[in-house]
Amino acid sequence: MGAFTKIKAGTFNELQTDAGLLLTDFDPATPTVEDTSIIAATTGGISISCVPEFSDWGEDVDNCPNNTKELKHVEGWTCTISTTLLSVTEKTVKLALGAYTSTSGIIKPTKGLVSGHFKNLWWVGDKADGGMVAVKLINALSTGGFTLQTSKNAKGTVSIELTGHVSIASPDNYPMEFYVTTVNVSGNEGSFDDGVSYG
Amino acid sequence: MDKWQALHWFWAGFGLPVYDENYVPRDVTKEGEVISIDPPYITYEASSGVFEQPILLGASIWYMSTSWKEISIKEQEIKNAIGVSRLIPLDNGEYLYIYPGSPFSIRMRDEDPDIKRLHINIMCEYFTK
Repeated sequence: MGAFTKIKAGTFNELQTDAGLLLTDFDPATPTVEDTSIIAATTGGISISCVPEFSDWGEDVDNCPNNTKELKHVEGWTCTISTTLLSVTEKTVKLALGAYTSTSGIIKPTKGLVSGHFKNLWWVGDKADGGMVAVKLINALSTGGFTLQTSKNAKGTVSIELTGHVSIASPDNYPMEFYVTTVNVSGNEGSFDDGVSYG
Repeated sequence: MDKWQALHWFWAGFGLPVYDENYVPRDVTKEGEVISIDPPYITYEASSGVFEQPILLGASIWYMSTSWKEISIKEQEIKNAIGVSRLIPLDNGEYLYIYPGSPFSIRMRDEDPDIKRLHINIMCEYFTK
């Protein structure tokens, strides 16, 4: 094997495995999942994105190269969680619409955006070493709208894109938080032991 | 444990004798007496793969019975033990990552109608160097 073809020690402990869950509530300090906090079953995995928006103040300066670090500024962050839901419920329809009203069981899209439409959401996933990765999307609102795709001999799916929002009350707090732990929260087995039973 | 021990360890967790499918003893001699090895037991395929290349591994549950009931219960036990996926820690920070294959189980015919055999498929990725 070449001198520069190798796998770093500890690589396998750092792997994130499986799709994880979308939750309405989660506390990284006490990492347990209540069934009622699971938003919906998903398919095709979940995509979490946190992308900065840059401005380059040196762009229009003569003789200044682009991407001069001292002139680079972060204008903001676009934080999103996207996935495809398998569950079609009142909860998921409301989540996908984002701005909605609900009266007597009738859910309608609306122009009137209120603070109640913005909700904190969590994605939590397992790590190979028994730890977890958790991402909190703050003031999440669906910005992709509601799309239900049906098909013959297949399950209907709802694609959603949720975007986090900053609040005027704390404009320097951008709407995504990350937690990565190696605490053994998943109860992975230890070493070889004769007579092990799963009963 | 190493990857070979890990495979055996996993299949040994269901309360049945376990044999590498290539080395199932037909009988053993114990204290001068020949004892035949009859079902129930599990045989498993011992193969290894590499990181980022999952492989399909098979195993079979064997029961001596006129009914599929007991073997079906054992199949569900195995399915519950794997769940969506399962990580088995190995030595040196390596892991065996297993999840159900497709199809997960298949009933197999045997010449002896009293032998019930269920073939299990699991996908296995070796998080090993």
